[in-house]
Amino acid sequence: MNAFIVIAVCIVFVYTVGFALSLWKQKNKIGAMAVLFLAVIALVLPYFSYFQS
Amino acid sequence: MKQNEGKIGIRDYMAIILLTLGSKVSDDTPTLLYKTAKNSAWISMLGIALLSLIPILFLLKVFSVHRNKNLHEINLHLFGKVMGNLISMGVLLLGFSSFVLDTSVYVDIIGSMYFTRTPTLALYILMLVVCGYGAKRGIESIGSAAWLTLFYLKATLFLALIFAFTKGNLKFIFPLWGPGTLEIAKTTGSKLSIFADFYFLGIIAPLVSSFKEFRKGTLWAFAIVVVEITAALIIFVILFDFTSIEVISYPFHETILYLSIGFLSNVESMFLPFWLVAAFIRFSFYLYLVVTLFGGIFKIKEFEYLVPVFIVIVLFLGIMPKNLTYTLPYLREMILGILSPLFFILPILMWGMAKLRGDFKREAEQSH
Repeated sequence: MNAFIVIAVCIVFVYTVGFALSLWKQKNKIGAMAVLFLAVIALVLPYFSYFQS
Repeated sequence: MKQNEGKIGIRDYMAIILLTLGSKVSDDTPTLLYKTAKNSAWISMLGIALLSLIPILFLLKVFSVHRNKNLHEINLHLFGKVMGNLISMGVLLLGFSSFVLDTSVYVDIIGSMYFTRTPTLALYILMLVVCGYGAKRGIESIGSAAWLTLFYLKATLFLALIFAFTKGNLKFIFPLWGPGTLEIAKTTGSKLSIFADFYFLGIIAPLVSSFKEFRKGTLWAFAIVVVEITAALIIFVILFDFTSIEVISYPFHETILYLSIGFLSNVESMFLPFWLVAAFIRFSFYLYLVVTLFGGIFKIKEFEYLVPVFIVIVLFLGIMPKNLTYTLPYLREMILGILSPLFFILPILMWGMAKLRGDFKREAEQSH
């Protein structure tokens, strides 16, 4: 289960960072940064809520 | 997968409201009301409905002069760029928190009452993946799915309530004023945000085919939902009495587990599938609202790409609270407590700003 969660979260992270990059290229820098922020939260959150408990 | 960009008609719009707000009967909302208003929770619900009508009517008035704008665009127009964005972000944060808690409550219901041996995380993942798919398909698909399910869900709910009514004792609703008018008034004030969804509906206002249909759909759905929730609150009391209902976390599910229709003893298997589908539609819609508002604030047109990241965040925030039976009601009450005054004040403030800016006058001049 843990491996599945790590892989799924990493895939979503990469997907979201890719989307943030495409927003950056479209000159929507604030949008890109907000999406990147979400991606980082999604990457970090499982550590605090699932793996630490 | 492409999102449907079209609009929804009054039928789908009403179906969405009836499913999202109507299903509050089946979560822990009744328990929150019974806790303070005891057996007169239904009276406090009527009070909540009467009070909620004020912000809803103000909202509709504001939307009547900004027919092609959604909630965020109206916030920007009325409060300016900085304040408007701040208000929208606050609304997003509260709406998102409420969404996370609601999903957590639903997973707790499914895990504690039906699938007791399935891990919570597996239930959560399954539910959010289905809802993510629904949200990614867009408002048209959510509306169609809501309309398709509506009849079956309401029919089974009606059946359950009728059977529960026949097994109950009508005397349990007395004394009519329960703990007293002061407690009822307090409950009314603090739980006003049960209908805060109507404020969030402003996010999809321009997606309803016309303002006339938006207004008509909102008011009719509001009236139906109020009748539905009030009737359910009365029936739960006459079935369980208030002394036991205060300690029941999910009265609707206890009711359908308690009921037996003739030789059918496990009638919950009749209600559960429809309730689950309704839950999926409800959370698909909430997820859609969250990503749409986020997309609006940060000017992201292809906001459907945000669905997976939001699913991950909701999932890991949702599994965070431990000891769900105690923490969830506490957190829910906290969110309701914060949302209630905002839900009442914000629409009035919006109306006041529109009046100050002369939006109503301009609209009247244009229509002449």
